Amino acid sequence: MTASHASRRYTITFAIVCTVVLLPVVVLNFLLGLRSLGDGDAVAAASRWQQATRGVTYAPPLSANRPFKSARLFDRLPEINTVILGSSTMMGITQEMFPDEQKIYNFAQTGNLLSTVIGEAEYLQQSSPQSLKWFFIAFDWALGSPYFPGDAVSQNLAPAAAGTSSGPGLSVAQRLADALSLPRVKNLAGIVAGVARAPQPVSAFRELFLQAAGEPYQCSDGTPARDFDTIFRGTCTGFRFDGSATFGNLEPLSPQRAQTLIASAVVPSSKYAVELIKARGEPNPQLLLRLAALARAIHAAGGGVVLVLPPLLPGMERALQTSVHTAAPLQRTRALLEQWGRSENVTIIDAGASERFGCSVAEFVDEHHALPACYAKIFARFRAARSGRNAMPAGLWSGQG
Amino acid sequence: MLFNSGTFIFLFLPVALAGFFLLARIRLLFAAAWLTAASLFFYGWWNPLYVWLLAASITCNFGFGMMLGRAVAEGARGRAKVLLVTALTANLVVLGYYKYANFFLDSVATLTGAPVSLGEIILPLGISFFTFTQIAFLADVYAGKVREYNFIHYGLFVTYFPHLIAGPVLHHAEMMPQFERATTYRFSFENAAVGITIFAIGLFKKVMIADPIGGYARPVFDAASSGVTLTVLEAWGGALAYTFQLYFDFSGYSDMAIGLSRLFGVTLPLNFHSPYKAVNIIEFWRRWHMTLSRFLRDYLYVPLGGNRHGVSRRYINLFVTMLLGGLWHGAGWTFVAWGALHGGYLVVNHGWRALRVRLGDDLKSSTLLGRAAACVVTFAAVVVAWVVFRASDLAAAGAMLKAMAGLNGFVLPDFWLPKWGAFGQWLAAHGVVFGDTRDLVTGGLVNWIWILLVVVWFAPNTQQLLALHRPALALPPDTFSGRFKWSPTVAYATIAAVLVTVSIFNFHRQSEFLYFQF
Repeated sequence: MTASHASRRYTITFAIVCTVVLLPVVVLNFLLGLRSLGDGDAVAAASRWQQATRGVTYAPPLSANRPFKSARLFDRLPEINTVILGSSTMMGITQEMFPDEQKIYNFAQTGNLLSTVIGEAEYLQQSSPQSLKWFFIAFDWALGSPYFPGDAVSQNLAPAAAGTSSGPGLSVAQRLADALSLPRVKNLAGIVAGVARAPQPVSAFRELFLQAAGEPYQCSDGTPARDFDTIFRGTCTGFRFDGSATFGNLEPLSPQRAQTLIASAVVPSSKYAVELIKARGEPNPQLLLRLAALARAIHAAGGGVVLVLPPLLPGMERALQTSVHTAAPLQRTRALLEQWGRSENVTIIDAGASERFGCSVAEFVDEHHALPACYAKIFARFRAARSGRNAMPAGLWSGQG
Repeated sequence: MLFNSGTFIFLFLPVALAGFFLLARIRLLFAAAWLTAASLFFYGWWNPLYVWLLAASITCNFGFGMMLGRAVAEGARGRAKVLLVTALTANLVVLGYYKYANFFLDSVATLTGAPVSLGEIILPLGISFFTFTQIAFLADVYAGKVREYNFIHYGLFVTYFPHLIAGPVLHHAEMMPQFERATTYRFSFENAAVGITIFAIGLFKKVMIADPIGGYARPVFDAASSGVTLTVLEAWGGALAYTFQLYFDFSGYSDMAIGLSRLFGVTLPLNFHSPYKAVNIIEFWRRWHMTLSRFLRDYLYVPLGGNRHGVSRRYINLFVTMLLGGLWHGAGWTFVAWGALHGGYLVVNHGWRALRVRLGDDLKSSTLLGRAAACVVTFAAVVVAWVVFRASDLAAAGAMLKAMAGLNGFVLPDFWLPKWGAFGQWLAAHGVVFGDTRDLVTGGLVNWIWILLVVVWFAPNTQQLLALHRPALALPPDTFSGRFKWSPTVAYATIAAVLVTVSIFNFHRQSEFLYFQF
């Protein structure tokens, strides 16, 4: 065989092997992605199922949960008087942390910026002034959104506007890239292996690739669950009836890992420090003005606003407070918030130093996502402080008294 | 656009290749123009605005090159000198503005306390590479070595996308003949097979080795810069992780560049030749970023006087060359210190060799044990220098080096004690402390380190594997030694396909190449 022929055979073999490996993966994952990336009517179906069963579920994708949460919020509106607003940092707040008379829905959504959260709160306050009394709003200084420039953005949370059936609008290129990513490939391998091992492979294939959802099952605490996504199946991942997250797909942190994460968090280039330093610790005044107006409107309607500085990994806020890069700006944020809270008569739960409330590293899945166990301690102390008082003192409340 | 992205592999590359070979059937210059346009598109994908800077740089330098060539041909040395100085100054001013202005002003502000700043200046990608490439061209035109009349070929030489962002630093003399050769524009299965293989190896190095090991380096350097006191094990773990990350990142990029270029029928110069196998620093610089070393030697060290003015002057020239080489890598005092460190290493190395010669020692004779020891010492010196190179500032570098020297104590993770059994007990009895540590050094990192040490010290490199197919220009003689030789067989094609598909599956943790920032 000549060198040219050998090279031709080499090139063709290379192309064939790549095609044989990549093409089935792309096609099958693309099919799965049509549902798991937000297409179809999974939002409505998942919402209907949760309303009927009070079980754990979500509509894919897990990271874009606004359509599902909007649908759920509107189903729950007639019976709730308290709403939790913010980003995924607030998703650990559950109904059990509140007194019986306070019925909550946790409307926190992944990646929600403060500017959006204010718009959501304004919409809810205006649309349900009589029923919704309490607003717990995240002030995610550690994620930087209070420092972003620009004004709050008005929101329309009506189911049609919130898009209960539309996907996040991913391009074909994005869907292809997603189809070829290792997590998807691993998931596909697991699915294919599961189908092969199933007693009835054909029906197993149909359930996974063609049916809208898996069969219902029970979480470890007995709550029913159903997976409308094609990943995290059987892990009880998703949102509870009260809107809180189960974090079923995530593992609690180890103390060793926590130390490393904290060390990385305090460097000036970390995501926890960049915006804080850039803004010199001064939250966007436009956002504070809108928050103040919102708080006044809610007070006028007989309700109340509580701002929450979400809990951070034990020791992390202390590390940020002692770092030369972040100490001064963080101090400034706290001073300005204290002043703002007092002047606007708003209580601010300052849970950043979560160790003050007795939270442990194992109650976090990363630097800023606390599990319900940590939030339970924070709210238990908050309830204890509130009991016997007409109102909590305005300004920062760090767990004392 | 990154080489390690689906957009590049599935869209840009096939279209660029198809257009190039189809247009070449009509006219070779059309193909060259297409490749230039594709390269500008590739560059503009990052930031379209800076395409104009690149285009202006090419146009101005080509114009200066034409005028300079004419002046040289006419024997007007004075005019040529003025043109050369003007052109070099213009290039350096642009480079200085984008890369060094804020560094300079920040340093002035630190010294004087007066805050001066030009605001945020976004560094155009690859500006050091395309500026140096063109400075070399101008210097060679001035020296009467080359002339270029074809704007398309010149544009392609500078913008040629495989090398544009992070090298290799091309030399006009080795590229222009290839662009003029008709065979370059004819599709060849041999070029395709060789190019695919080299690209697959480079892609695997970047995606499957450099990126994962980099995940271990970052937390350690972050910890050092945030004031965490590191143990000796953590500091060495982080330093070694970065040592391997940088090597596999940059040599992976260079392999990809060489492989991609070969698909277009163009052979690029070699840029890496197993640098961590070097037995001294002089040899290290003949194996690491070889085209930059060549540039610094030919266009800085030699014009400074090289070794023509005595030993002391030679050492000063060496030191200054490395100092500026350090500054070329980035606008920061850590880069200056890194350059100075390597300058110092080179001076010591040359001094040591001179001493040995004076004592009648034969530099060519060595033992296996001696070479192994020299390799380890050289490697350690390089690792120490990489710490300075990577650290966020000199204080962080100092903290890392202090920990590496064992000045913060020697603590091993306590969960290793039961794993090590009797050996662990023996160590504990002899003063080694097993304590509660962070997870900066894990079993995963330890495995990475020993495996990669074996790879960089004992495995053949890409060009050795493909030596029979002339994978790159300027191959060193020892490229052709070694037993493992690639040939275009079905088995090797399958291996290459596996390397590529595995890498593609890992694109989701896509990261830029470290050398993009230089």
